[in-house]
Amino acid sequence: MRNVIVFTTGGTTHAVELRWVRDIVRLGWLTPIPGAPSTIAGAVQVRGAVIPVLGASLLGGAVSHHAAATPQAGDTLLLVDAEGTQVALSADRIDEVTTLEEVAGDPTMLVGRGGLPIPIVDPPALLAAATRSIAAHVTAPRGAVR
Amino acid sequence: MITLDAELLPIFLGEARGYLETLELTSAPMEPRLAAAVGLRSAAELVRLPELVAEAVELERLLRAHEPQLALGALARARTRIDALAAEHAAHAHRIAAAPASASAPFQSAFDADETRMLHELFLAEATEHLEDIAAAITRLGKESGRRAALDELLRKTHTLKGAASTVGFAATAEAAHALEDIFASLRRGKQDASVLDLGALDAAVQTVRAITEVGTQPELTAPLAQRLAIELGAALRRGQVVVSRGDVSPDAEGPQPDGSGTWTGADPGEGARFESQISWAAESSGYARSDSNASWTGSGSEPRATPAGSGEADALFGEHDRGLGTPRRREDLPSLRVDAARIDELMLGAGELLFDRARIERRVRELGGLRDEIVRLGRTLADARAEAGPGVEGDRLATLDESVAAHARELARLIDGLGEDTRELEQTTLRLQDGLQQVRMMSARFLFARLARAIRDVARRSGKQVELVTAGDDTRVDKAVLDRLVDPLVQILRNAIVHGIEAPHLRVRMDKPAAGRINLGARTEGDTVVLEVADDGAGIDVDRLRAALVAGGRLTEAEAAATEDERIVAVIFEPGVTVREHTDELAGRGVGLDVVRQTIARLGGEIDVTSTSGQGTRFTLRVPLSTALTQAVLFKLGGAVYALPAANVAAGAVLPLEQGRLPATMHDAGQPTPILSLHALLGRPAPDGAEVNALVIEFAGRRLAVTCDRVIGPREVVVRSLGPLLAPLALYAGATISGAGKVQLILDPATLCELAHPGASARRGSVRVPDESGPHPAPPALPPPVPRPHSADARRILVVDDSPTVRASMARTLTAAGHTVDLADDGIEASALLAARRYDLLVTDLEMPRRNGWELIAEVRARPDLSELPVVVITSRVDDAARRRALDAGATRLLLKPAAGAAFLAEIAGLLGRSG
Repeated sequence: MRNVIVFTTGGTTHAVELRWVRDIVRLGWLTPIPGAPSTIAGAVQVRGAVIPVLGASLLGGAVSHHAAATPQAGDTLLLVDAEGTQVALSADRIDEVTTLEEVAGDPTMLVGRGGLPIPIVDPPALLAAATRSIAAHVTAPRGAVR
Repeated sequence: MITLDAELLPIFLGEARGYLETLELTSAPMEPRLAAAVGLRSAAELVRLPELVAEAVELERLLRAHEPQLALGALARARTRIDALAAEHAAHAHRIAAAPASASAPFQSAFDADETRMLHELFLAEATEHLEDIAAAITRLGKESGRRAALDELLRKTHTLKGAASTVGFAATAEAAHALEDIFASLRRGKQDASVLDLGALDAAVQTVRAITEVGTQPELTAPLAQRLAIELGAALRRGQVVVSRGDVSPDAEGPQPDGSGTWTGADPGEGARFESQISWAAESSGYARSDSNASWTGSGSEPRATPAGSGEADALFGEHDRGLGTPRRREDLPSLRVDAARIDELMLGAGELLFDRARIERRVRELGGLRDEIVRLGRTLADARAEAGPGVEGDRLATLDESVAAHARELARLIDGLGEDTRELEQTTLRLQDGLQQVRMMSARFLFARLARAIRDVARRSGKQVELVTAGDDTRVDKAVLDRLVDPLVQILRNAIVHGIEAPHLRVRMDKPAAGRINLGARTEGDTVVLEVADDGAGIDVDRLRAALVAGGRLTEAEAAATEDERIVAVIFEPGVTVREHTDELAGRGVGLDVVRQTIARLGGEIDVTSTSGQGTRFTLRVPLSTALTQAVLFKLGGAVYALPAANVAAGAVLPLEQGRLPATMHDAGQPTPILSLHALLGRPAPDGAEVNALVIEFAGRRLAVTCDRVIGPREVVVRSLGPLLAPLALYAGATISGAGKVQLILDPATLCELAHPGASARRGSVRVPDESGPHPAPPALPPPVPRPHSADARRILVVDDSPTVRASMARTLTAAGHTVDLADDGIEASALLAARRYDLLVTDLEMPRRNGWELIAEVRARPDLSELPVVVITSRVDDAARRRALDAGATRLLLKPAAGAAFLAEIAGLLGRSG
């Protein structure tokens, strides 16, 4: 049994465990970060701190095309704390806060309403992937620099 | 009615009074009196006062005709006219101060709010520098040797300060600088003996001028300070009060005016008795008591009861300069240092810049780590090759190579570890340094409260309300930088509370409330946050009226409005353009609204909330960080977003020509070829179109480059935020700052930009990616450096030469807004270099400048055959005839009086350009 927030982003439903979520805020203004990989959608200010917003592409799996669209003002942001680093995930909507069971034999999936499997977002893994993508991006071969 | 430029008038009045002073010295030789009459006439001509011109002509004639008695009559008439003008100006100035900002002086209307703010900031920085130099030169007056040089510098500096102040509309500072200038001029002329000067009092006077400058343009704030300045200047000359304010003391200043007629009474030592009586009056009425011969003023004060007894040191730190606030602590109790608050701020800014350095070093350590990993990989490849090669010569060679690579990798690893430790050490030291400085800068909330108490008293008196102030948490210690920035928002909240919250006394009595409204002002700390509360017991916010206003404004439907809780409706008052007032009024409608209050708080990284109970009052709660790491940044716009660069690395602004949309590869900056980097390309924005593009010249570690941008917003003091560990590897950014609207604005790292523009200057792995589809630029390096653009009838290139950055910026704005292209030079030397490098249609120059002055520059221009026809406009606040004649003799086309800003100035310029074209 997991206590999770179920949310939809880019037409896909995900669940994130409550223990990672620090806050849910409304996106006021997203500052794009030129030169960052597509895994970073931009940065927002939350209570004076600068928080990176992760791109939907990082959530992986069955991401539909319009998921790549930039988060818009008014979108909901889930602030997650992954081992001391705060990042934000943008959501088109929050579906529910609930307790769900794991899919038998697959701890990365939960059984949602109507028996549909919902992938679990793992913030530390997400953060590690984002970190890797940035590292790969900035250590790209010199030829990319004009 | 005055039809004159409100900026020009005070300068003219000051100078006219100077001439009258000379003219009234009947015992003086004829020559200077004649010169003064001529000067008066020229000045009156410049400001177009035909009647005064006529009086001056008559004066000149009578003096030449040796008719002293008749001349006195003409003099009296001139004096009457000038006094009448001054009185009208004082009333006008007061109207300006009382009116909303939009109705302010013509200067403001010529610039948008951002530009005005930038000019003010520029001016404040410049004024600080001048005042520091003035204070330093004053100490040199004490010695016989070098006194003359010191006086020359003092005259030049006060004169420049006066010109800059009047240009940006700081009338009180201009007046004060003029008063100082007068004293230095009389010392220089030998009319006053420098050896009997009280230098301590003179220094105090300079500090008061600084305070006048800091409080800015509001007469109700500057008037009491101007009065103190008068006393201090009198003390400096050891002969009582010098009238500085010249009759335009704000009617709001308390008590009787020392000399309502506004006549200049400071010049004649024969009036000693009168000065003495004025001193004693000033001492009684303004709460100052003279305590020692060094003219330091202490007082028991007649402040409201919130006014604390404070310490002298903290007073100095507060920058309030209001010695009337507290009693000095006994010196033997606490050995302490009086440090200028601005010095601490400077150190603080420096420490703030260390944050950038640290982030940069950390990133380099990470890059080195990558390099080490690559070397280790290389080593493995070598080991494999050696295994393949087997024993033999080739194998041995590979073995040696392998060992050597492994040794180097180990060495590199050792260095990286060491560097990492050093960085952590640096971080600790930086944090300790910042903490220490913040501690030094911490001061009690009581100083904030005392400032607010004055504002409360003032607003209450003007709105006919009675207000009792109760404070709590006076000893809460907060960073001065934070306190300073809280003053404006809190004053605005208090104004609203008094004007809209607290009811008139008769209404309150009818409601069984005490006649006097009550404002509670409290401060307390919660962790790293200071919480400030402002509560009044007035009418509260009328939620229903607010609801109705929101529906009427189309922001909510009736149903939505009805369904929204009161708290959320009340919170709407922080949004721009929300008001329930039917009419804006003078007191609360002035200046900033609550949306600006919220922006200011947000910029400090804080929050503001409001609760209100109808009929019982309103409570604002502000939460801001106890201290803040501030630094100076230059903000600019690019592709719809705002970016920043550390101000310490921004050398200048520039405009680059585009040829068929292509950027040149280099520009000539101060004679040096400087590479150009397209930020548009770097940040993935479409290339700019049009004939030219704005740019900023960056200097980092001795290397320069220009980066493109859409528009330069200007320098700002910003709070630097880290981008956090995830984004830190992005070398393009040094951090971020938060805008007033709560947006993240990225701060670009000048080091990275510099490396991109100077590849190979320091070997560095590619850590920044430029989008491949970068459009038509950056241009191929084969493109030649920019050539001067061909002249067209409408776009003219004007060179402006002035040693005052404020005047330069102001002129640049005015002329650029009129469609001209403007280049700027600090002095004659720089101007000569620019004149040699390109063709100009017009030269605008100041006269008094270091290194090469205006007269020399004009003479040089006229000596060059190619420039002999160049129109030369001299902008000066010198109206003395000799200086003017010298300028015209040297070849100046036109002489204009500072401040040159309005339509008349542009018309002059247009006329001259027409003539030359």
